[in-house]
Amino acid sequence: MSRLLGLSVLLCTLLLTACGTYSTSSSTPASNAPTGHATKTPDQITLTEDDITNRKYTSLGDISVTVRKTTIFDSDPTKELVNEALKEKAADMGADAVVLVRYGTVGIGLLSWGQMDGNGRAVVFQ
Amino acid sequence: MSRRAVHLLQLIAMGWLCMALTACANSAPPVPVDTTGTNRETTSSLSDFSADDAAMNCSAITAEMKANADKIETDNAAIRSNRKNNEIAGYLGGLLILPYAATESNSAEKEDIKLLQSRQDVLRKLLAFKKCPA
Repeated sequence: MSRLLGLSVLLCTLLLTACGTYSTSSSTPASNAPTGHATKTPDQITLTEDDITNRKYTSLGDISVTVRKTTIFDSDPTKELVNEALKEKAADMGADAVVLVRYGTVGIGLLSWGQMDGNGRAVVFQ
Repeated sequence: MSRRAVHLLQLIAMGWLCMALTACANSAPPVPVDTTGTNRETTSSLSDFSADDAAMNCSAITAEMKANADKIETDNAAIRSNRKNNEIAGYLGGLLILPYAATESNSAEKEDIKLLQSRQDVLRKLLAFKKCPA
């Protein structure tokens, strides 16, 4: 009995002290996307909800991220956290920018009490 | 497992199902087909737009886009304002079911956002097609 109680206390502590949010991401490379771009750091990535029309770019592919909060006690994922996750994914792909960024609405998901999606297109400037 | 325990588990499962159907997150809309990148596979043409849209000038397009963005923000604010209430009701509902009456799905706002975002994509494409200044 005391073992079960100890386990419950440990589980509760883990739930309450775990990181606030975590994210998952995926990408769909453009069929004719150029390859071999060196990875960048997230702070080098430009991010916009609009398209970039005053500068030529090549699409590397579409990226999707989901930011989830760990417990019900954590604060909800925000657009800023989604932006960070999109930048990280784009940086891994060697992109210069993420265009046409759009967000889902925050709400309860299958794996979390609060999650928010974001999609965008990773591009490199010419 | 006793019959009572099975009933309790069934109630909890129903509660989770109700929660999934009410206060769930909406996915972000997909990114539109690339019509502006140098490696695009399709190019937009005037026939992609309705006659009314094709007649719009750059300032009318940007004005509508700004109005749509404001409406999306208003809808998102309405959804966010019900979040804490939904979470608490959902959490209690996992055990008691009845608190689900307190959840607010904001389905009208979510549907509105979906339509507005789709319209924004058309306007962005039109903006690029008409070579409006960025």
